Amino acid sequence: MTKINLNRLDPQFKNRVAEQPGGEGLKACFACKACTAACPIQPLDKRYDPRKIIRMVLLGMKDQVLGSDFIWLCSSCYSCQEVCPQNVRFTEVMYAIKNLAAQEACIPPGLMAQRSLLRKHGRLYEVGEFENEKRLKFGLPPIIEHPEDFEKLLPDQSVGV
Amino acid sequence: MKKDVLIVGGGITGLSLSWELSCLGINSILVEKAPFLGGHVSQFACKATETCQKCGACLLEDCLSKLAGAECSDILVNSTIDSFREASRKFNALILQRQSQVINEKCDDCGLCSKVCPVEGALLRPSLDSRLYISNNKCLKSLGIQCEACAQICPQGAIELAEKTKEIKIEASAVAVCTGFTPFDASRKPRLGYQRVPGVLTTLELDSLLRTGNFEPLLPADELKSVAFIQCVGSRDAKSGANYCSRICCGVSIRLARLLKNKYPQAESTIFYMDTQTFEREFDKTFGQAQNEMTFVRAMPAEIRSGEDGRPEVTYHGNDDTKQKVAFDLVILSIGIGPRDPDLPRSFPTLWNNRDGFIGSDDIDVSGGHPGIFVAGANQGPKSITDCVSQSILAASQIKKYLDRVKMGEQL
Ligand SMILES: Cc1cc2nc3c(=O)[nH]c(=O)nc-3n(C[C@H](O)[C@H](O)[C@H](O)COP(=O)(O)OP(=O)(O)OC[C@H]3O[C@@H](n4cnc5c(N)ncnc54)[C@H](O)[C@@H]3O)c2cc1C
Ligand code: SF4
Ligand code: SF4
Repeated sequence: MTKINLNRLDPQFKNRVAEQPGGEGLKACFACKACTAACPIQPLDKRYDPRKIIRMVLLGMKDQVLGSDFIWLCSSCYSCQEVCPQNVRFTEVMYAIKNLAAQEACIPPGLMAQRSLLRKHGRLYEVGEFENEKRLKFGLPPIIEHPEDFEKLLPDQSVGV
Repeated sequence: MKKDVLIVGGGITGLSLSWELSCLGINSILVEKAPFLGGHVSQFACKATETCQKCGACLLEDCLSKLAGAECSDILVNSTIDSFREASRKFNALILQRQSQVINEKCDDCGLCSKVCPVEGALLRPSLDSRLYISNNKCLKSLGIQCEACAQICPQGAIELAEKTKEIKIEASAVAVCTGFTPFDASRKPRLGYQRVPGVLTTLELDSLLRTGNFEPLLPADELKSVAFIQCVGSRDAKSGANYCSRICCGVSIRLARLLKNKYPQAESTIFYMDTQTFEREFDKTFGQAQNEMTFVRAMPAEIRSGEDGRPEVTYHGNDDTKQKVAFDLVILSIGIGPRDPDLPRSFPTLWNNRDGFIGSDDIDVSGGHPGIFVAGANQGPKSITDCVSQSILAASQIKKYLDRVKMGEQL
């Protein structure tokens, strides 16, 4: 069991998450574990436990939540949201947490790499001559990359919304 | 007919109020729409094992026997309020009483009538071991449609079908609304498998099974080895619009689990809960003891499905931090108390809806939000039988104060 150092807890953390779009339902949680039982990721990685993540946020364990790599494991399947009796909308809470993590520059390197691909190509895979020649053979029009919109959405290399 | 008080609803609250008023010398008339008295409590069995479990069900019988001797309490069953008007501090109600009935002394329970009746629920038994009644809201004859099938087939001549409804006019100085609650409809939570997965029942259904001991269509009672109780079905559930604790179901499940064990010693119970509520006075003691008699798992199941062996299988997150799928012989959903859609006439003075959709005040106050109108019982908020009785005593004293003030001509 990990020890919790009270001096390093951030009492405002829960309020910050609850203020994010999607985070509103956070404080209604009863810790009933229905979400955890419904989650397909939890059996694969015990650290990703919806009910525990909520408790961590409520306790103010900001660094352990935002700085972790497990918050990026959510598959966005909405199973937890479906079973929750309290309308916590945990999938949305996860988006709120991930947005905060992004603002604090806590994004795992893999996601950062995807981000630069998006910025550069407007998609996660580059479409080059090879792909377009193949398309031509099947009678499909070529794909022209339009990364402009993504350059606007993701302005420079610094993170943040 | 002139009366001091008109009581609407003949559950434990209305009956107890009628008795309390008669003790204060106030005469009342009680109007019950069902053909029998007692409301939900009339369906409950005594839960005593070797000792009394203090479920409160016997308070109904107590109350009925006291009322049998009461002088100023009138009771009308099979009756509904058709119209309602208020004029100069008096309430005028038109009551419709339908009078078809099964005469208990003649009926030998052969069941022929139920077989020929074309309407489901017109011939009804409030509980499996109770006598038979005609529900006059459903019986075709009562509704003015030609049908006498049951009376014609009955070999005992036990069925009396009345031609028409009787109209009764009542003038009362005060009205008490005691219309009770609606049990939560568990099929509103399809993931819990009610009416989809065989072996999933509600606490109300288990109660009747225990009374008759006939688990047959499900499984032979002596093969009943494992039973799961799921708490808070339709309580503490913002998603279903029931963001409140029903107060009774934790106690109900513990008592039912004990009674099961007492009747069928091989039956082990597991209770899935998120919090246990300790409203009853001795709940801490009860809960402490219960922990030695059954297993408590602090987890709400994600779903209940039919398992491979055909038994209902509960998926939950176990105390050991892993996902569990466990099959039980029976899964019992501990259903909560929901507001009753008050099927009172439109002309009834607006009763204010309180925070959770019940009527009347948010706390134990019995005011109905209109001078002379009072609200008590489970229609005001989830309550146990004893709480209903206590509130009816409060209502009786408040009604007396009101009537005294009206008599003295005080400005209200
Ligand atoms: C599964 C379950 C188990 C329970 N077990 C226990 C227990 O062990 N111990 C305990 O203390 N409590 C228990 N309770 C709670 C208990 O049922 C209630 O406290 C009690 O029934 C409330 O009594 P009431 O008279 O207010 O309402 P009800 O019992 O609902 O009675 C209301 C009456 O009013 C009548 N009525 C309604 N509308 C009208 C109308 N418009 N005109 C005329 N009549 C009308 C109805 O027909 C009914 O007869 C249980 C509840 C549930 C759901
Ligand atoms: S299902 Fe809802 S109330 Fe229950 S632990 Fe998960 S988020 Fe909390
Ligand atoms: S009494 Fe128990 S089961 Fe019922 S709503 Fe309250 S906590 Fe849930």
